[in-house]
Amino acid sequence: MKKLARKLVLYALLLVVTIVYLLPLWGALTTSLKSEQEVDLTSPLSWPKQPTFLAYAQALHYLRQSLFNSFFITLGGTLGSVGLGAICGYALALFDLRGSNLLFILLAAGIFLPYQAILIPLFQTIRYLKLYDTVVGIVLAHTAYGIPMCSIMFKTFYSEVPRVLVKQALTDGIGPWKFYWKVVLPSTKLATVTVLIFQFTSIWNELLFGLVLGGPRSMPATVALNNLVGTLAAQWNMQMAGSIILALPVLFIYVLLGRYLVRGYMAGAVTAV
Amino acid sequence: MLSSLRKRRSSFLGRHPFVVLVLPIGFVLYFVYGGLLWNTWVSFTNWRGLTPTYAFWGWFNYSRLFGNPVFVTALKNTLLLFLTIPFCIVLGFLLAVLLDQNLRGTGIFRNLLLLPYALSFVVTGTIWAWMYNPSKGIINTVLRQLGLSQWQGMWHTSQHTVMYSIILALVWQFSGYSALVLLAGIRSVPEVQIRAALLEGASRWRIYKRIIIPQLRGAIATVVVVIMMYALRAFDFIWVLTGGGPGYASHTLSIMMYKEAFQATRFAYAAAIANVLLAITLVLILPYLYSTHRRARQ
Amino acid sequence: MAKVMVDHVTVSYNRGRTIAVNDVSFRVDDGSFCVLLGPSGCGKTTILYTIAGLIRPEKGEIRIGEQVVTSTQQGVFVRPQDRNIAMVFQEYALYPNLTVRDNLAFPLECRRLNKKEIEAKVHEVAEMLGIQDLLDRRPAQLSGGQRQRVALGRALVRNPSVFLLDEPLGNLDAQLRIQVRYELRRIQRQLGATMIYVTHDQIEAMTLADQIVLLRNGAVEQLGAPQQLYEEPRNLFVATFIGSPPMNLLEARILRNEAGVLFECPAFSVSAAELGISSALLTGETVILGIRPSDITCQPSSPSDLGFEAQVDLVEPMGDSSVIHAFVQDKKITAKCEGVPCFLETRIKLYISPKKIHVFLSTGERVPKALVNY
Repeated sequence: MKKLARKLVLYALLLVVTIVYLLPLWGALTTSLKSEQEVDLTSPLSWPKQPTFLAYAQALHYLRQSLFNSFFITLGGTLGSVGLGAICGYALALFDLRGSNLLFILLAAGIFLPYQAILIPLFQTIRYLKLYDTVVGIVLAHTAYGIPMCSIMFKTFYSEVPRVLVKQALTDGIGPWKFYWKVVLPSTKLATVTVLIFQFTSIWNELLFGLVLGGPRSMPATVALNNLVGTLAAQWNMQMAGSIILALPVLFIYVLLGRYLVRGYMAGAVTAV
Repeated sequence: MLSSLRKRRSSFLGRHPFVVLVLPIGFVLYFVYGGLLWNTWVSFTNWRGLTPTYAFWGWFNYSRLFGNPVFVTALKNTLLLFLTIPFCIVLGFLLAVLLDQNLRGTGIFRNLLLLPYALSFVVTGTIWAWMYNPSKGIINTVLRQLGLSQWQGMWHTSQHTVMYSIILALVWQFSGYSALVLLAGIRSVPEVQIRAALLEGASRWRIYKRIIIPQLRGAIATVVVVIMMYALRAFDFIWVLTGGGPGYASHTLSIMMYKEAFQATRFAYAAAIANVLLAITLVLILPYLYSTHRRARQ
Repeated sequence: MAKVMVDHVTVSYNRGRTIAVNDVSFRVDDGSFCVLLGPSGCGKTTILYTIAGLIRPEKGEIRIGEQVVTSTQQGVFVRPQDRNIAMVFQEYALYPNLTVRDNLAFPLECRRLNKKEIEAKVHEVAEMLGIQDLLDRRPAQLSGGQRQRVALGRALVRNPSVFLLDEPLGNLDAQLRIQVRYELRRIQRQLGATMIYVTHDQIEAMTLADQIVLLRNGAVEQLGAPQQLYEEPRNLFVATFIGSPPMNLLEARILRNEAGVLFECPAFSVSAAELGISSALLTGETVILGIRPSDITCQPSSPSDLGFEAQVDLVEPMGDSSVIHAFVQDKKITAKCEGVPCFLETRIKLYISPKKIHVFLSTGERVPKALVNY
């Protein structure tokens, strides 16, 4: 009986903690569904008496172009960094090449890079390449700076392939890339999905590169939302609606593919240690 | 058949299959390490305005920095952000303990608590800006409703409380992640040790204190490093919440660098700020990297 | 098929601090079965990998057929995938996401044979190994023995110059091991294939090999036909490694008198002349007499046999023969006799023909028997 009581208390505690913890998100949701007047008048935590999607429509109108940009930027950046990171991780994990150690150190150190330290050269490079205010420019930046993290993540995952398989393939006369395509990739689908989702959410959520390299035509949704907040200080419902719109893809992934995201966070943590 | 075999093997890609690595390695060498060198060079020039000048100017940018009160504030604030670390660890630990109580369905709660971490700082920054609003925000409103009006604050609009408001919001965002890592650390303690302790009549509290916490070093180190790295680079959240204000009260090195470079176009000066940030990062990270590398080698 | 020449190969790790293979040379004739035998850590697998090209030696030359595939002197190194060898590993190394058919076909696909040729070859090999019903299964659905056959099949499919096998039977249970061993030898004879096989199991080596290369600590202790190593071991290590149960060793003092040289051990005394060795080759104060358990008999087979008394400790009946563990004074002796001697007595008399006793110097080297007409 004591056990049951204890369990109930703990459950209740957990429930309360979680609810309080997520209150801000609840508040954002309720506010986004209210009309402007209601926002002013009612408590932020109450459910709207007449929920309306007006704020969403307004936010969407403002964010439309930038959402497209975000989509392409995220797609391109994810594919680029994951693709290049995968081949680096593969080579590092299963083959003893000359300079493997050095490469590993270079990549591992690259994870801790503060972006400010390369921001100006990046800016200049993109300008020289005439890629300023283009989606491609931002994709390039995300690809380049995503490679270290992806490489190390893939190295960790690919190291689980039994080395004897690699030796067998070598003596069978099968080249490393055919082996990769036909044997390694199909058996490491989990790893691939994990890194893809990790990168997708990271790039979708990112602000700095979009701010520095983007312009009126190519800005990602994060920049656009930030601008929205700056100019329309009082229209809370629209800001909240915009935030939720921005958060939607991540929420979607979180609900459906959440365990991959969690795996990605754990893998990111392991590689940091 | 054997001769056609030989011909195929002699293709360039056949003989040097890993030549494809040139692409990603090239990217990293140029954008990461090349960038670092370039930025350092710029910090020694006198570049202002949109067209770069690479005339060598010595240490002038750096010396100007240390006399600049904005820089001092920014430096102080950047280091102040480290306060999130102990709070996240403690809160994360408490949450992890709560989640470790073998209740059914804790997986769902764990995922819910992790949600803020998954969101963009732009999203959370916008939400907190609204929450912190002195007249309409949740926090002050709830305080009023609870009859604690005297506890209301100006939060992010006052230079005295802005950094602490930021820290609070960041603790909120990172605690779920901290709980995740610490929970994994707790769960990685071998069952046998806990069972043995239970058999010897140890109380739960003692088990945590003597057996589990000492073995959490790795997990705690991970959380510390991740949050520390974030704190040093922190830009997104602060930019959205306060833009560095009010005034210069919530400037950090990253904010200051951005403003100097992309608003005031004082690029060389900004490069110097970035280098200071880099130096701090190196000082903090290198000993950690070195020790884990050595541990891995053993 | 081709012959293999290993010429003065030295392999070291850790910048020369650890020497895994020390100046090893041997040759494998075309179509013969060569076994690299030795305890763990003796370098046998390292040599195999060096022949395969997975390891580069510090010194030495390796030739497969007429081609020099590794030569440190001439700076030649042919990559493993270009050496036309086939390797079978202890852990089978089957590609987990491919079916048996695809596993067998994979090496061929890389050689750009057309589909029909590949199918035909796969079937041919599958039938040879009796796995034609398993072609559509995945490795995870196969038993250990089946997986090993697929691994063998994958090697066979390629018609390589040399087969290299690294303890392939190690993961199989005893009965299966014997069966697969037999099939392996049969296939090898049938194809006239050159096989180099690594194992630590001396029984396996004795039954399979045309030639055994016995290694210890990276060096060759002896090489030759199995019977040769059994009957004429070069030193104590070879003598005790080969043969099961292992050879009994008795220390004997050398007594020299006018009559000749006498060896005195706890069991008996015997002269050098009886043993058939020349006393001129002796050094030191003691020698070690080696007696194989299966040479010890319970009845004297000839009048010149030496007899000695022993205290029986344990009898292990094995069906057609028994292993008798006994003590002579306090020295342990193992004997293998035919039948099941019904020893209710604890003291028995055992016999050994002096010509079958091996003599080893205290340094470990065996003293060769003079060529006497037995």
